[in-house]
Amino acid sequence: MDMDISLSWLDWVIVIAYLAGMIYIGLFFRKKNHNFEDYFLASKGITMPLLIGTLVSTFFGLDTLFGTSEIGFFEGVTGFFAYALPYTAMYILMALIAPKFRELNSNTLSDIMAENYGQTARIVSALASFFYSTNAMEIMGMGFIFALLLKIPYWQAVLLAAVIVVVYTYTGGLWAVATTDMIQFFIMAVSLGIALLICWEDLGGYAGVHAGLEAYLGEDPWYYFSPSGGYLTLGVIIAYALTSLAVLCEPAFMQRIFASRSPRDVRTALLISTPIWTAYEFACCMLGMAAVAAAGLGMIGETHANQALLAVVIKYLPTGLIGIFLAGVLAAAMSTADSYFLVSSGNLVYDIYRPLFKPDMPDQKMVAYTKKAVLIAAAISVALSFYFDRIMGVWVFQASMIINTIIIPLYAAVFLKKLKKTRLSGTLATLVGFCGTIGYYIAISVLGSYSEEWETLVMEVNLFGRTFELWQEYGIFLIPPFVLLAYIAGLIFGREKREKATGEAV
Amino acid sequence: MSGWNLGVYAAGAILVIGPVIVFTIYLREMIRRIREHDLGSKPSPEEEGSRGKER
Repeated sequence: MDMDISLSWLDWVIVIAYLAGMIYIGLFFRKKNHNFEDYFLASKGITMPLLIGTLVSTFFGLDTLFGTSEIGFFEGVTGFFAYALPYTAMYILMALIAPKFRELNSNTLSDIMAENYGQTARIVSALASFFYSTNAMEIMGMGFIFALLLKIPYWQAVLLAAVIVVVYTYTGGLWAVATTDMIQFFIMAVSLGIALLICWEDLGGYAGVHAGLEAYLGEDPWYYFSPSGGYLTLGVIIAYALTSLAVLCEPAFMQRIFASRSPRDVRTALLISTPIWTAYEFACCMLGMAAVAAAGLGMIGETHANQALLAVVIKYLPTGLIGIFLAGVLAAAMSTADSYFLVSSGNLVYDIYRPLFKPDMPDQKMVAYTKKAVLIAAAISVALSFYFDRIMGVWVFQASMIINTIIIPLYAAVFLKKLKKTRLSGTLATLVGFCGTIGYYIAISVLGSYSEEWETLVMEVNLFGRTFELWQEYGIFLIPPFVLLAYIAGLIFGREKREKATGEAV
Repeated sequence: MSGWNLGVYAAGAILVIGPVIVFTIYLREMIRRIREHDLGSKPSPEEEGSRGKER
């Protein structure tokens, strides 16, 4: 860690007040939870403004803040056009279809799977959702910030970060998570917007940034302002764009859709959130470029790409605003971590433990167990944060897992009403998606090798005398055709048609 | 003004103004809901009963 941050007393007051406020909200909502629906779905009473706050802040964590700025640092506006814009398209699509999910009156994604395909599909989809929701990255990021601020060892910083998030998630459930998300949304978006405007202006706008890039690179930086970065091919863009499909079956998105007061609230919230998400990605990307320009102009020293955003912002923001911005960085991480702790605890208790072992579990007991599962989910995330070095690789695996396992049977269940679904179709599709993803990644990890050029794992395969390169990321479009075939085979050979179950959702 | 400057100012404006508007609407609604006790379901009669005994 070669970065050093010294805060003024005002910055400290802001950061500490923010953290204390989060814990207070958790304790405030402790008394509002009387049953599982209160705890896990905020009594299905989240309305439009709170939905916007919780949706935006949950989906954008440190991967967006530091990941997109890192791409901006190396590759310029490609970080926005090739990586972020496909997500914008998916947010709009989700806004159009989300009301349909809300009308189903389910509690989780796995409820829909169970209703249409039975318990095996429920359990497998819950496992995929659990894997997806185990987020080591946010815990790592928070640990990094705390270690930087408090000058304590990384492991202590990680534990401190996890304890703060767990306290309010454990005590307050989704009401606390959504309310803290709202405040976190406000802090992270406004602080980033102000930082962008101040940094860009102080660097002299486009002309100044262009000059800084030219000084840094020693050549014309035209490719920094080219949407394809001057090198991206259509195939690579499609491969990255496909990860945006995760938006369509994102467990935390779905939890908020099910927790909303009405289908109309969901649609409006997603439509209003979309420009905010898009502006946020654009700001991160431009600040990454601004960091290179600032280094080129000698305003900041040489910086590591993933610290570029912090370096440039701390250079240009005045006292007080630095505290707000750091609170915003913590907010981005905490709002994502808390939501996924809650989703994974629901997967463990409501979707897996209850149907398998205690179908008649009383409501109060389910709340108690879900709270304990929050602790388990947090412990797993902390353990993973110590284990993995390259967490972006883990995210690609997680996105592939949820897309491959859930998306085809889920959308067939919700949108192909006339299709006579069978238990076998859902069971086969989820199993092929789940096991296929794990198998593919194991094969690539064991038989492939790391490519320095593309910064990913690549495996060479010889077929019919020709050599093909398989990237780690390709699992996301190589496996779905097999899932589709498995689903169709299940429809043809499955005999038992699923009638709509009535007793499987709580 | 270059298109990139325009993009930066537009993104900055959305990020600053958007959340302020959303947060204002949210605060007004939360104040109303807290006044009307419209957060969470009502406690069951048993819960109310046991609380009464505790008191």
